[in-house]
Amino acid sequence: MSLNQKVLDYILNQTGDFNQLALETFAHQYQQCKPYQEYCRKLNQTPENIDAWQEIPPVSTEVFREFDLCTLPPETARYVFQTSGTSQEKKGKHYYHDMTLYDASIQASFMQGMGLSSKDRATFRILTPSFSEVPTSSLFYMFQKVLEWYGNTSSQFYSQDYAGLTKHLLNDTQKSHPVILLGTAFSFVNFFDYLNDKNIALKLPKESKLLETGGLKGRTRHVSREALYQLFNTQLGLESEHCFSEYGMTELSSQCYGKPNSHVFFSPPWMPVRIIHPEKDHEVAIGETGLVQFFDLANTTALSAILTSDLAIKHPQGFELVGRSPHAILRGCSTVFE
Amino acid sequence: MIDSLIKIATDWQSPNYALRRQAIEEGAVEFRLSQENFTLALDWIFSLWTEERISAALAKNPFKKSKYAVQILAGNTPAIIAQGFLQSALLHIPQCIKVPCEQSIFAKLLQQSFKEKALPPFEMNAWQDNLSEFYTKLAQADLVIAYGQDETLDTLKKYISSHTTFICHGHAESAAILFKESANRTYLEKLKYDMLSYDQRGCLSPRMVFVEKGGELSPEMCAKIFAEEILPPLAQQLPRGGLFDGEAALILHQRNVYGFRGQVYSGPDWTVCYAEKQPWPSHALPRFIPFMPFTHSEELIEILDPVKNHLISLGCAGQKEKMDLFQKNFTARISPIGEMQRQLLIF
Repeated sequence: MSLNQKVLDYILNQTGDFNQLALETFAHQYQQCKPYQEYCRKLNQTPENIDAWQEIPPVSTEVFREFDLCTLPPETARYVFQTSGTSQEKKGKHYYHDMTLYDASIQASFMQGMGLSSKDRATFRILTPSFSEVPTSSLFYMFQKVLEWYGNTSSQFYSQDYAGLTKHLLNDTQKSHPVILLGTAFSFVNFFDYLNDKNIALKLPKESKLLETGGLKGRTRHVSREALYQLFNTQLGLESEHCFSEYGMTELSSQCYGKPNSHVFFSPPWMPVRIIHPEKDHEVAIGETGLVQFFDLANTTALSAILTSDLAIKHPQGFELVGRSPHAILRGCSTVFE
Repeated sequence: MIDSLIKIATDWQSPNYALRRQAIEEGAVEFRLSQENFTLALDWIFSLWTEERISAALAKNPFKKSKYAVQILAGNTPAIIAQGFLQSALLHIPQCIKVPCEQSIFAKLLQQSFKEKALPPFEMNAWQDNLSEFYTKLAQADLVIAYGQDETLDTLKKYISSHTTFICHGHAESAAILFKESANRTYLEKLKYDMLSYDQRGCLSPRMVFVEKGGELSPEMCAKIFAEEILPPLAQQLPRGGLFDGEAALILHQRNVYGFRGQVYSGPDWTVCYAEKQPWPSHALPRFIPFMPFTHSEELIEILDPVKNHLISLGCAGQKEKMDLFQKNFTARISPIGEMQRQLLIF
């Protein structure tokens, strides 16, 4: 059975030994990605002398800005997702030759993360551009797939067409059709600015839900989680138990979801998280703060062990984001909407 | 006055001087320095207060016609505080000094030693909660000398009269250069002080070391020997001070990045890197120094061109003609390797 097939089985059914699969994935990436191989050799952490997934050398998201880190020739990639940022900033790239694992990861986590059944199609109102408009965005790819797989015919992307979105939401409300809003934190903030200007406050139908992602801190604006959730309530009539959070990034193929009324994100079983003490380089204890590090099995064609610049408090089953490490380069899909 | 200043310097270099002992005990932490490193800093700072240097500075004083001065001092190293005080004495006019923090222990103790020697008093405050009073003083001054971030200096300009002489020392960076005739252990031994003193928190600390190819030691070997043999004993003797929020994370990420770019050598509180190609570091990280090779002076002049407006000091070791070439191309001061931090930057 190929590595990809084994990983796919694990994502869909959680069959197999995670550690074994992680080590196999590491061996594959070590063999196929020469810059990573050289790096691991310098650290003397190679497939021959590692027997636990936690020992696999992580790679900083900063490295992706300078190196093409993938196990297949980048020029043959089908999709190239890029980190957001200004035109002057170097962008991190994630090359995909096959979307099977990425898609499986969405299918195995999105609807469950949102507390939805994948049997019924829903009305998605998406406050971002579509993937065809920005084909380098991993988030818009995910939203596109969600719309294709789980959306009904009236689902659509709105980008910044707030008038159209308002019209449709008013119509949904009138007909008592529950909707699911997807967007980045700042796309919601911008939409709320529009509603305020027009003196409109919506009260979405019962069972409506919302998913926000992309970070709360931008270049020019900053919104607290509490303030944003307050706006969800006052502008959309959505109680916090209907508001969900997602955490993902270009360098990962899997996403984490936060439950309503909770600040804690949960990573899926195929992408365990470690919260790392930045100075001592070991995992912190529960309740302590450190840098977020993942091992994403679905990243077979790139690198799986990823060190982020996000700081989080370790919880027994998840992590609570407390922001970006000071001095870290600003990133996140929300910045697109400032 | 010169005698008094020299006596102050002698006191501050004496291990038994009570104010020095108190400053080491209580004040090192305000600069994020270990007590050992702060002790070295005090010795270096006050060893520069010699009769010859002070007399030369006094003769050079270009602000003899000024009547009222305001100095705004940055708080990243004790050297800036001490030099600001020395400058105030040499100006010898009514003035006030804005220090970075109300609780600046070193500044208070140094002011006390100035009082002990009956030097002209000056007003000192942080004006953290009373900026309007400070801005009034700024408007009254005919000379303002300020150290700080570019944004802070831009803000200050709004409160300064167009007739006022405004000397601003904004964001500044430095680099060390070993030309091939000096790419050897002797100069690496000197370089270790440039890197470790002040934990690279000062603008005179080198952010990068450039080594010319073709010397006794290759640039790569310079980095390796520096990291493995030369740096560790002194680093142990002068431990690093505390880190600011985010610095540890940035160091971890940068070690990772350099692991891909080239070679990383690290100890418990220091990092030496080597890479053939690399951008100028965007952050000054404590005890984190990258080495980079170059083939000839013209190439290095080109490499440094994008940061030339911020370069304040180039520590150089090599033939005089090469240093002259850099002096011609940059406004930065050229200083000997090992002496990068030992410069009296007044007037």
